[in-house]
Amino acid sequence: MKKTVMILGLVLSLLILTGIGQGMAEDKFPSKTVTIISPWAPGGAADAVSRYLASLAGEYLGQPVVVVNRTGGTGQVGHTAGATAKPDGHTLTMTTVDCIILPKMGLGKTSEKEFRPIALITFWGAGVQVSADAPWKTLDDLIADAKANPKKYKVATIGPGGIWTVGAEGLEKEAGIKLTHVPFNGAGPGIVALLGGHVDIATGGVAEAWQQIQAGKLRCLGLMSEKRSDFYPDIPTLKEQGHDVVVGAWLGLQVPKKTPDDRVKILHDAFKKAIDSDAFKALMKKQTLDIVYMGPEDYAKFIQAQSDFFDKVLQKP
Amino acid sequence: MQETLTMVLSQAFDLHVLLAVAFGTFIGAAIGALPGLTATLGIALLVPLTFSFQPLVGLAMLLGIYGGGIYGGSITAILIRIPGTPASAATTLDGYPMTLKGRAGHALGISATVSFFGGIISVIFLATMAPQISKFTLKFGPPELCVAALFGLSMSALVSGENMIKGFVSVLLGLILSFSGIDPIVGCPRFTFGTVDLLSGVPFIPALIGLFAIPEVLTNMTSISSSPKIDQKLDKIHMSFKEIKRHGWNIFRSSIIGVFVGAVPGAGGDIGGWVAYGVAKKTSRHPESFGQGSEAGVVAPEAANNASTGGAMTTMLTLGIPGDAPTAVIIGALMVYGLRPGPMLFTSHLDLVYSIFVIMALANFCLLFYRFIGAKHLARIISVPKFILLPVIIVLCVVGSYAIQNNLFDIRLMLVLGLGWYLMHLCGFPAAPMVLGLILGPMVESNFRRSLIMSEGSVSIFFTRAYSLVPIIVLALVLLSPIVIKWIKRARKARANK
Repeated sequence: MKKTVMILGLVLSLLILTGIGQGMAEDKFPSKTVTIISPWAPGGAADAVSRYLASLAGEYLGQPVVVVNRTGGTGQVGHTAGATAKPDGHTLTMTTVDCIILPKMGLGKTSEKEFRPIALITFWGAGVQVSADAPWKTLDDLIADAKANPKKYKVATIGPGGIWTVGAEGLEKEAGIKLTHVPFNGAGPGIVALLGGHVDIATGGVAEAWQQIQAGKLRCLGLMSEKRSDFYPDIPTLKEQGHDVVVGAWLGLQVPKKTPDDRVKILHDAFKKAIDSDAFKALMKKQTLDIVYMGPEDYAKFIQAQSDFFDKVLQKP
Repeated sequence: MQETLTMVLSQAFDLHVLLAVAFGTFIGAAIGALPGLTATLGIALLVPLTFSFQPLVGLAMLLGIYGGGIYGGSITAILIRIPGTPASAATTLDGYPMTLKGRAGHALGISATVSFFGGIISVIFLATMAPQISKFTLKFGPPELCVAALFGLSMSALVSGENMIKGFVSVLLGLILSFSGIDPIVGCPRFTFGTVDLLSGVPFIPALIGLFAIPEVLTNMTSISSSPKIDQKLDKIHMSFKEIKRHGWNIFRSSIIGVFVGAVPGAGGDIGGWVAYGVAKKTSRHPESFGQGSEAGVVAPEAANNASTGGAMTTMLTLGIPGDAPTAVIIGALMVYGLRPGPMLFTSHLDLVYSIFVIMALANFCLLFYRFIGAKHLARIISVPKFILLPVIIVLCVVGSYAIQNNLFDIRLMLVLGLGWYLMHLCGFPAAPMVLGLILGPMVESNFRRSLIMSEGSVSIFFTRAYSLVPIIVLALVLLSPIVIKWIKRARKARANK
């Protein structure tokens, strides 16, 4: 008798459950929590900017926006999760330039072609960071030491094909040195490894390391950009020091390719408002990140230009 | 200094902050108790809500949820052997047997009191030794992180189930399951069987629910007519002072373990609970009582998993790296408030940092209060007839599996894993090490590979660094000690027989 009641109760509860599930109609967009996938670990710029936008855009979208970290594989884990998400506009990805580079090197399946652009947000450059106790006072000191000891010094990278890794490789090629690459899930963990002395150099974005540089724990020996940054006027570029290495990363929000036009527009308008807000401007300034905005059409053109650029660059032996 | 103190006190004891803490801990406990919802999710969903509040009020709520979530998970771990969060998995080992003996109320009371102490001790550590703890944390590079995760896994294998071998088999199965998804270093899909759903790996919440809940429900179903209703003795809930003194060393030691394990990035209450339990069992005078409803077996993991919140917060505040999953979300919240965790936070916003400590302490007081009120009522849940309770549990499991990713695949996964594990369960294989293997697999694998890259392929890197060598030695000793003791006994017997 008891068993019968139990089974009946079970069946009834499950029936009720399925009934409730069917009832939800999705006529208003967004109709539930919006997710931004961050393919990089906390501590880096991608994660930080995702969280800022998430906090500000919720008001304009009428639904909470949360950030979910899906790290690993030089961003492929997150980019793939984002590209294969349901194209209903509820899942965005904070994409980075690495999703263009990796497939060209045969290191990943998810490329920029799986996405639809919403907005470009920022552009920032790499630097050569070392511990404050490191024996090298200038970049040339480091290069001389590394030349004499190939493979001795470890550099924290973000994985094969990642943009900051490209920076490290650029430095190696230019200066004729060999370093050992240790891959992490983003610039953030790399900086922590540098602080802990597990690696000797980190060639990630300067913005991520800036707090530690200000606190005197790390030093930046040079920027991989065209000219000095207004945020750090005292840090020389690699170009000034005789090494032509310019490497920059960008952050942009994208959605799965098949997301319908009207939802793309709603998302874009909401996030544009967030980007234009004073709160966001202040947050970015604190992070020493410049806001470089592009809408869906311009961003798409930019991505194509980047793809062509890397086709050329990666051809070189 | 004086003005900092007054500022801190006036900030922290503001009415809104207090309300936020009270609300947050309550919500956190409720969320933690529901299988499928974890503190991380709760914090993530409520973060946007807090942006309209002042930073400290919002933080107070989030910290309340964090602490509450850990406790909530213990409630179900004790009452129905289904941990609401991974951090409470170790509590099922002795908490549930206590329930079966009619002492659920007492178990909940112990959990409440001991968690309170664990939380307070960890806040004291956080407030006084944050810089030192952060130095300790920085020492954990890839080799140390790999060994730390392996240590936690080994502990769980050692103490769960009937014997060590079965525990290790479970761990290995969990690790194998964790390989499915995308390779963490190279980025190519593997073991995904072509489905999109597995591209991010086996989701651990449906797995946790399936592996714990389904076998439990099935076992109860098959014995439903025969099992007598267990009368819960609801008179003895609070821990008497004598009891607290008796377990005092266990509480303190487990809390320390919790703080330090929590401070290690990637490791949190989940590892901390197991290590504390393992240490308690190995150093106890009655190791055989563990797993049968021993109070010490509830004290150890409960103190440790709450203490780990302090450790994780230390790492988060001083270094800006998350000590565990909920702190990753809290970092985001802090950044949005304009506070960048890291060394600068202590110099530029010292008053805020100290306010955070006070709030965490307050959260612990709130939880203690709630638990004592709630323990009696919660224990009564077990008195509900099984044939009503079990269907409700199943429904909650199904909903819980769906809730995270809104993916039907997760429900199927939960059922498949659960049904498959039922067979293993019947053969005496413990589920907890498998779940831990699934959760920690990525940490073990990616750090192992990073370490080998750092050492250019040489395994010696694990043995030449102090922080990785020490846990390895300890682990070897712990694993070999039963064998060594047997040899010694045999040798003694042989000598005596001569």
